[in-house]
Amino acid sequence: MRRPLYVALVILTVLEVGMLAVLLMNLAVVHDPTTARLIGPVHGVVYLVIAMIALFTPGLRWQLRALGLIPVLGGILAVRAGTTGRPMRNAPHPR
Amino acid sequence: MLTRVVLLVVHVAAAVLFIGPAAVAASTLPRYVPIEDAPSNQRDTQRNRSVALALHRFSRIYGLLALIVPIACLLLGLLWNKFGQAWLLAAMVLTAIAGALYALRIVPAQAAAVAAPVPRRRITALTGAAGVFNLLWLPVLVLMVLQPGGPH
Repeated sequence: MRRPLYVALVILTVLEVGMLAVLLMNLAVVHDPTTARLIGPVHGVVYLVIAMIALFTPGLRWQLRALGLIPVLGGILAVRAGTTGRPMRNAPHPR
Repeated sequence: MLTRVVLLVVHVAAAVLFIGPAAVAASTLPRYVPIEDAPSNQRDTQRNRSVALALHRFSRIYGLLALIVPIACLLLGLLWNKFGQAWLLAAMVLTAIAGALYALRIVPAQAAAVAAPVPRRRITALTGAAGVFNLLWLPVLVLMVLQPGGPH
């Protein structure tokens, strides 16, 4: 994965997890409908972008592509695979 | 009210003025990009790296400017409170597919093709991808105009 794309993926994943946290806290504590109405769709869009990066980035392993489609977890797993795992097809095992 | 009108005009104008040229540049680039194989037809003799480079720059710049379209869409959707409607979600998914195809497949393949001559089948693949990108906008446009399932 190219460097700028990976940076974008990290930022998007942080955003996705952060917004989910805000949504869940809102649900548990204040239950403000305006917050949910505004953050919910933005969270969905961020998920969609992460899923599309996982689907369309050239050379990724198919397992990572499939995992990338899972909301919230997908982004985290993709970021993790980029630092510790073997994100690309035919890439050597990390030592 | 004024905010919504301005946003809607920005959304439609950006779609016409930025996605349009991006689509044209991506569709015409394969005809001009230098080819690795021996020229086999009249068109091959007209291939010109400078033209291909210019078209690649248009693709990149207009592709970036086209990001205004989904951003305006997101703001409009929030203002109009329309995110519960299926036609909008379907159009957004199709747009996301088109955008990812463009940014992650078409533009990088263009960059490789203008950097050094590539075999003919890679150029053909680029033509095909540009065609799919162009066609993806038709269902999006129909969804935007008809808004099936939305209130009228």
